[in-house]
Amino acid sequence: MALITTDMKLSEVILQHYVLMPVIRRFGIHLGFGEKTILKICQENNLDADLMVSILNLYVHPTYTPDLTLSAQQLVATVSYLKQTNALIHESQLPNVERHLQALMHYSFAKNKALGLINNFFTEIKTELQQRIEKDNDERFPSILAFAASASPVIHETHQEPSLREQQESLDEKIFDLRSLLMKYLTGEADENLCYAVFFALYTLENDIRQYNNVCQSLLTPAVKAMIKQHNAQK
Amino acid sequence: MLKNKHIIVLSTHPLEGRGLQSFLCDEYHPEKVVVHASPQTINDTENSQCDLFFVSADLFVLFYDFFLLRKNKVIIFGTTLWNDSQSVMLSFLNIMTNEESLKAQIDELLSNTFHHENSDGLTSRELEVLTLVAQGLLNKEIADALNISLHTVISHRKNIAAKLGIKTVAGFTMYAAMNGLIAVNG
Repeated sequence: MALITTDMKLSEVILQHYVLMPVIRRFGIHLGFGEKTILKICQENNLDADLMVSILNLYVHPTYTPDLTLSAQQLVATVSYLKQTNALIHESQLPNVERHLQALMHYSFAKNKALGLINNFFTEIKTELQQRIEKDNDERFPSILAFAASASPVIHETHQEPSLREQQESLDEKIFDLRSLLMKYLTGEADENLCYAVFFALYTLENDIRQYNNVCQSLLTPAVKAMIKQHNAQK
Repeated sequence: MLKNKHIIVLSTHPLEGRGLQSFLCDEYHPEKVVVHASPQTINDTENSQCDLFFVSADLFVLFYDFFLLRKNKVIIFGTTLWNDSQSVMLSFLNIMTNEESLKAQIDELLSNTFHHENSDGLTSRELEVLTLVAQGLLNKEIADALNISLHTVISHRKNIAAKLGIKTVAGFTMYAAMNGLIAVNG
């Protein structure tokens, strides 16, 4: 699969990789973009085209390593993108899984008590995810933004990253396990349509968390580390 | 341990075969034990129903290909320890001994090599490990509880993860709860 480049038409890229629809939404690009190239759309929306194609490529190419060292401005834009991702997870994706799961519980729990376990497992994942989002939004991102703005060493990102990463990795693995359990080991009666709906809603959530981690690991963390290194060298 | 099991004893010596058959019937009460002098006389039904083969070392060597395919269900018996059995992880029963020792050896062989797999292919040992993981025990605690090495626990956990396609402790716990291996609170 060829890498996505700024001179490609966004419509063609999306038609080929429909999973990118939520990504462009997080950049604030609205539907109706016609036949314009990614570069043109980015210029019109005051977005960084290089950053955008890096994130698009990270999303569709699992082994892609971005050839981009973020500038301070790009760092701010990346944080903004991640905050949008968190907002969508919180406002749309988690409620979406919950809605389907509640319907499944409502129709099938009386006949299949194992669904209670699925529900409990999801509640556990949801709590962990919400805590992670809260921590990112309240502590991690403000400190990165403050650093990018003033170059003052107010963060200890190098120390924070491993533990955060471990937590995030375990989250998408937990959702993967929940999907596996639902697909392979849930026996007995349960509304199949709703099971499929829960499965797909979980898949979308898992994928977005994985991509979120990718952007952090491949773009954000190296940029923050580089800034800290530069700051220390200047001292 | 052998209740409801079908066993085939293979020996070129009729008395040896009958003796082992009689011992297994008296001590373990299996569903059925038949004696054959060669794998060639085993019919298709017996072959497909057989849960465990006791085969004399000479027949094992003679029909190596037949038994190698069924090595997880084979216990070789003889009068001396067959050296190769260690290198290829085969089960060996020394029959040149008293009844008490014979029983102890068979007990151990059955618990070590005659795996009771659940429907997802987990052996009884893996189910034990899984249950302890789901109960929140750490690898070291599991090793102590089952009297096995830490390395073995890790190896079991890798096998469980590969067989079930589950990676996290939360996932193992959930599987254990769904399969009645642990009690569910609330």
